[in-house]
Amino acid sequence: MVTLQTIPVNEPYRIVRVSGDGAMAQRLRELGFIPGSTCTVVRRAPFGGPMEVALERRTVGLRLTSDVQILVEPLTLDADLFCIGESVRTATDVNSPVAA
Amino acid sequence: MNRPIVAVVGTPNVGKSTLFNVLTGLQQKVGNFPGVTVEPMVGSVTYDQRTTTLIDLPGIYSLAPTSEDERLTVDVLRGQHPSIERPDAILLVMSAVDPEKCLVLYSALAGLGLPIMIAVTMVDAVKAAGGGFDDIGMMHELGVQLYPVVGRKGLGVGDLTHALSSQAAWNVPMAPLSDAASIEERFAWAEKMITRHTSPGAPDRATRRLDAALLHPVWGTLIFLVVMALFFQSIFTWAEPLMELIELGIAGLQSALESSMPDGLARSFLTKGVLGGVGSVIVFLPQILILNLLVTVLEECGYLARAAFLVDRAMGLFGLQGRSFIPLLGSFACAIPGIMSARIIPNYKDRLATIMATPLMTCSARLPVYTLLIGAVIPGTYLFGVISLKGAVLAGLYVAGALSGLLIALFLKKTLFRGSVVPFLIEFPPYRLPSLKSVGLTMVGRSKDFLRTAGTVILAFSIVLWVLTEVPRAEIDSSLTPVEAANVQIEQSLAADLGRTVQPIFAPLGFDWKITLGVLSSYAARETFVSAMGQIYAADVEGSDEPLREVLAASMPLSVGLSVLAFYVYALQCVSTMAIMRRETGSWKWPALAFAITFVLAYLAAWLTFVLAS
Repeated sequence: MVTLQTIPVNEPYRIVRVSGDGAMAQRLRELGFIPGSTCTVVRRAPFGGPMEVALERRTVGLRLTSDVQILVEPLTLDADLFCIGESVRTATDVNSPVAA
Repeated sequence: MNRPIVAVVGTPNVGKSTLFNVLTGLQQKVGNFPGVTVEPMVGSVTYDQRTTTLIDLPGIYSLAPTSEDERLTVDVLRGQHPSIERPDAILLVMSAVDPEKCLVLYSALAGLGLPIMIAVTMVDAVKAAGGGFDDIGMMHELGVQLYPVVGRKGLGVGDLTHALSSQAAWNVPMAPLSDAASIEERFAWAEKMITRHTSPGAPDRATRRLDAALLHPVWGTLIFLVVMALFFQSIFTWAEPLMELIELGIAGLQSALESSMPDGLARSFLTKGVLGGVGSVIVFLPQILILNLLVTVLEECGYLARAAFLVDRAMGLFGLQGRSFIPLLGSFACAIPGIMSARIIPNYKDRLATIMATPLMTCSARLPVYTLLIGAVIPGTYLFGVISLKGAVLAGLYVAGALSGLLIALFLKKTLFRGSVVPFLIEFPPYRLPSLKSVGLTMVGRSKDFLRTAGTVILAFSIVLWVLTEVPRAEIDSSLTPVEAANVQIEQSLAADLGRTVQPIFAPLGFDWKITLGVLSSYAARETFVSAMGQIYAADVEGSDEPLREVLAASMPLSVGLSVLAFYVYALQCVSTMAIMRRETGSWKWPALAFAITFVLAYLAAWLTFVLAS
């Protein structure tokens, strides 16, 4: 289990937990950062700037502070759903049914 | 139900305001509720002689508010707001592109016991991507009426208007979940509804590709700088022909009055007091309109959220976050809408710091002062043969204002509003074409506001100043030319007495009594400086073809001109801005502090400039 800030870009991860109970944590949950859903860090702005995070149905710009943590784990792809060699990018596409 | 009130509710970025604009058209105004810091728009829809009142409430995600404007919506919906009546029903706006958040919100709203109707926007976008949205199926399962609309094209609006006024279309739904349901349970329920009633279309590759370029650290930043350059460039170049047209029209009116009325006080009052005063301000209507047009278009097409992302890191240098960019950018048009849009910043301290910086962004009211003074005192030479010195000075004034505003925010964040680092969170809406009608209606609303100020506050001050310059009447030697006669009159007027009394305060800055009087009159609204200078220098006296700029060029030294410019960069000379600061912060403390800080800075900057330049 790792935090959202540390994962590589363009790889889908599964959200395990959003810790913290302030307004920020609440808003994150309302935007769909809930356990079990998939998220991908699309890009990170340089010099410690925000990151763009794609959820299944929407995309947000996000910069977290130390009081809120998003814990994620790697997504294990079902072998029979995705052929070996298919790019990870395709997996996210399948997971975003209506425009992200 | 007699004149039922319907609250228009939705999550942010679903096209709620566009739909509200399309439904109510020109039948809308800012709601006037006592003691309300957030002013919702109120409009009306009439169908078959039945009128329904619509109130456009700020967007919410749930019934647990995290900011001021969300609290307003929740209080109103629960019937707990002290001055806004509880609505009779809810029109929920859902985006077909992202119905999940909206269903989550619906699951909470359904427990309020109010009748609900749903308007589904952007169904066309889903269909175009090959997806499906089964509105009938969802309608049956939810137990409320559901109307697909394409706000931008006006499709389905007729049906919705009809439904709004027919009682049979309103149902109080059964809440699908208990009020105590967790956010996870609500998402699980929404997910079930979506699987059952929608089918996914192709992913929005256009938005993804655009983001890859527009959010790119290098290309995105370059594009951002180009957009900002075009933004400011177009405000000046597009507005110019329109401004000249208005000036011609006012000059025409003035000369028509001059040739049709006998010389005397009445004519002077109409041409100088009324037309001169209001005319010199109405000239700026095109600039204000274009600036508002550009901000609205950038916001509606989805770019403003990306711009906030791009500048978040840079804003962090000043203790602010990306969202602060939106109120600050708006303040280049006018600090009032800028301060109001600071509500999108959830944290109170961050919002305050941003609000305190807004009056230093160069608003369009400063522009006429800058244009006049730069035109008068800065030589029309070119730097390196290409850059106009006048243009460079203007750009310098904009940068000085913006940078100083940000430094004030930083100073406040380090002292009064000390706190931890601010987080940043903004949703990226899919890119879309803005609705012409919605943008147009926003324009009309803004120009009405502006003209109301010009027609009341500025007219009143212009008349007061006219009286001060005409009283007491001086003995005019009949051998004097009209220009000389006007100067004799001014020198002996009450205005001159007033200017001379206050002038010692501004003497270290190089201001004479005429400039002092102009600066004093600016404390009502900055742009009155131009009309005041016109009256004081008696430039538009009959028989004198010399425009005000030339008169100033002849009588104002460069050092004084620069000193006045420096003063205007900092001074908070706008009663309306202070009033709105008071309203948005809930205390006179903050406008008073802003006034004090900016006055000290203005005085010091003008003094330094004067000393260095002379």
